[in-house]
Amino acid sequence: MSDSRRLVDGIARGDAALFRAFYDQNAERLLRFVHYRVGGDVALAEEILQEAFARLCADPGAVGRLPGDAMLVPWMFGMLRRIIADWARSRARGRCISLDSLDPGVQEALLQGEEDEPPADALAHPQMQALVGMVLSLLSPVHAAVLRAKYVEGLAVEEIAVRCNASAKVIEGRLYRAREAFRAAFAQVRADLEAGDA
Amino acid sequence: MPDLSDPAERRLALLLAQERPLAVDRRRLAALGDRLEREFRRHAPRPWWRRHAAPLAAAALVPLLALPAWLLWPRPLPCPSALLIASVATVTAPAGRPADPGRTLLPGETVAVRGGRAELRWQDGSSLALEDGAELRLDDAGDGSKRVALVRGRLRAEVAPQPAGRPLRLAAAQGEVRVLGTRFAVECDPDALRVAVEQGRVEVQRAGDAAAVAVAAGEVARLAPGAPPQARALVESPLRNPGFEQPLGRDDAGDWCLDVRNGDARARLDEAAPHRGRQSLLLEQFRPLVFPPDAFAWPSWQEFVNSPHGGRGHASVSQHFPVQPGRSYAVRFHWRSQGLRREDQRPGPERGFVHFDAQLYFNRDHGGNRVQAITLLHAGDDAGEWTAWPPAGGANRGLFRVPEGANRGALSFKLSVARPDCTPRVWIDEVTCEAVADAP
Repeated sequence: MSDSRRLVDGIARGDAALFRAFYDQNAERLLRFVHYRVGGDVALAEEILQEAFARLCADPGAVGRLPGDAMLVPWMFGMLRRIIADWARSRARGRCISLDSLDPGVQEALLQGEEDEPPADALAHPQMQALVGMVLSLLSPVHAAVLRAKYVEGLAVEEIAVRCNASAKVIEGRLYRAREAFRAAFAQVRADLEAGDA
Repeated sequence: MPDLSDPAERRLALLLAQERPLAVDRRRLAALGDRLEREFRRHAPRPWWRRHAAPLAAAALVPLLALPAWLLWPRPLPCPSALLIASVATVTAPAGRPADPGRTLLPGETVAVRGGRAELRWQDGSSLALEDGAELRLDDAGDGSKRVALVRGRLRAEVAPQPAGRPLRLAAAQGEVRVLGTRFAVECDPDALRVAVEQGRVEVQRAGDAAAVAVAAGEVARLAPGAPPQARALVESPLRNPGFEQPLGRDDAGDWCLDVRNGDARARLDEAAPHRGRQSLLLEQFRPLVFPPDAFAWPSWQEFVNSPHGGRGHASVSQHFPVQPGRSYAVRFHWRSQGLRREDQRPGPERGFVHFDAQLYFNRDHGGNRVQAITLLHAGDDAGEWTAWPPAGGANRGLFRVPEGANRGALSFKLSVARPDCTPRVWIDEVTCEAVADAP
């Protein structure tokens, strides 16, 4: 049985220690995601995070019905998306990021292909920073860290390997998966915004 | 270094460089985690061995006791959290943050309703409908029962049958209401707690001395300092538009009637800072009175206040309503003022007055003979904040018996001004006049 399945089953059984561990490990990341989605409103982001976890508390058995090896973090992200979508239609109307609300340059950067260079004026736009923050918060901390090391700090694979106490081959594989995860997360954010989900 | 000649790598590097760190308040996040963990423990299904081991052991050791042990074994506690349902999006949560419909309220959180209504609903169907201005905290009773603290304002409760020994408890500064399943309404002011029961029965216990009274359907109880808790029969108020939420009407429509004697004094509805609801009644001298320059030296007081060049300003509002002879009525209202001044008849620059009067009349027939006139309040000093009448702990409990021969009542609020260079204002809100079964 995988760790994620054990976590899901444990929480479904009512294991409060596992619930707390899951919260401690992921609350900050989930909060960052919501924070960017709701246009930087920290208080609103905290409310939405609380609501998502409160729903989990109210019916922990629900996660036990997750199929196969489904993981809890993506399930929580899905719940957050649904809550944000609900709130965006009511009180948070106009405060959540939507495709229509994006700067034209940022919109272009969002919709262009994987090899297109984003418009220079869009790169420094706060909305662009929010989009990148959203995408990075969707990644696992390991993937986000290796991408930052490589593309922001400019470290070589060998240097990252030393930092992570792993072989260069492991880091290359991790980087490959992190890039794939980044593209998938970027596509996910784009799809959410296109669907008016945020 | 990334290979920036590769367009995909370059795009990735450019995008990642835009990340800006977000400062997360980890202490707040940890505190939220603590609350959620407690909430999780309340809902968590207990492991099978904890659910069954003790009853099975008891059954094995003492077969005769197995059934009672099973029956008495504690079951999972009911949900103390509640779903917040708001008809408007202006409900605020603990730190003044807006809260949305559909949000789960956790123990320790407070809902303050500003400019709308809100409802709390539990899984068992129990609900509390909060009116505008109400503030309520969801408390953790520790035993799984529902416990709320009404800080201020009004609510209407509809409570599903609660488990034996675990009533819903509604606490306020003045006391506590315990209910096992009923419909009732609560109004909490700084000076009094009023509980009116529509269906079922509740127990109301005063804070401090724990004096308690059972309130049955059709009864109302009021907890206030200086008066023992007592349940009385509740009769519908004969007053219309008691909170001034509707436009002022005409006398023949049985609503509040305007009676303005001086053109520079008036009565109107005011939306600025009502005591409750959207607006309150405002009596004001909107333009200062002008007196002849030598009027302050005139020997005659009457001549001064009846000066043809200015004289007295006067704005009043009243409402007539049917009453039953021999029955007692409880009158209450809230008021605040700016610019009141006690009467000074002596010649000199301080001569004059600004008074606010509240009066209750009992008459025979509409527009007929006056049977009794009662001055509820004659104020020459300001109430800067909203103040309840009758005052808490005072000798006057606001109860008046209708004298024989009277069948109409009238409540009147009046601002009288005999001072130059001032524009006094008096606000009135939340007037109640309820028939009660007993005598004062």
